[in-house]
Amino acid sequence: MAAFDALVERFHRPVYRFCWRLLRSPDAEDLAQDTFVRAFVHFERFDPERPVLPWLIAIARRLCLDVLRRRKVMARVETMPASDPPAPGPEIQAAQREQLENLERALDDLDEGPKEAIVLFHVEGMSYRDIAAALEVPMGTVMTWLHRGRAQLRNALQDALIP
Amino acid sequence: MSRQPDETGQLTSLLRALPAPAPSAEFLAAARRRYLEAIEARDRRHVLIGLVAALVGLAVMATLLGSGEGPVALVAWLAEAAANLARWTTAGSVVIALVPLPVWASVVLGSAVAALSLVLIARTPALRVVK
Repeated sequence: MAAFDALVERFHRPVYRFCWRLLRSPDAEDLAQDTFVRAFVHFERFDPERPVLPWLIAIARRLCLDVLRRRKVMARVETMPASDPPAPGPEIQAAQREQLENLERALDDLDEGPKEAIVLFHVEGMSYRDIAAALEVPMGTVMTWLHRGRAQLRNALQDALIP
Repeated sequence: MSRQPDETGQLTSLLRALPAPAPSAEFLAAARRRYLEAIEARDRRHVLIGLVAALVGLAVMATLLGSGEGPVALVAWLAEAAANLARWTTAGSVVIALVPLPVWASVVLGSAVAALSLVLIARTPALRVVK
């Protein structure tokens, strides 16, 4: 049980963030917990030569895609408040906030693959190799998704800036 | 020259600044509870499978004892079943070898088309009667 606790303690944030980015709903927490349960119930399938996080992300991704398929909402789930927004202090400029909102919308509008690659690379700081393992695609596909995702995000941000 | 890495770094900073909820404080406790439940369910399943296997074994033993023929009859029956299986497998492979490949291909293709047609028909919404 200590090993389970240690694994959850160490990786629950990135797994949860990933689930939340895909689902944008409270189901994310359930699925993140399910991810750890499945990982441990089928621990014999884990290759100790490989890093743990991509393996967990691969499990989480399959669970999330199952939920999305069940909901028949592949593109976008109605947005729920991301979190309690930080208290608007003087340091938070309106323009910056608007930029983040645009970026969030653009990220939600990305296709599954580019979105997952962008989140894992930019937010979780994973390597191409680990992302490829997590998403179960070749490394070239990861690079293509990243390139496409970045281009779309950049365009969305520029469109927002240019009225 | 350094525009690309700058842009990537800027994008990374912006993406990391996006608000995202944190997992609840009960995350670990809930995950642990679900893990224990899953382990219990797996153990129950194993016990159930063991019980079913034992029951099947008992039933086989009871049948053998009831028939009064003993293990020799069982071995003979198994040998006959294996011989039958081998005979049918050989016959099947002879038929497969005798029929030319284009015939098999057309049979497979025809079956696939028929199955696909049935699926499409089944998925077509019911026609409404026009008055």
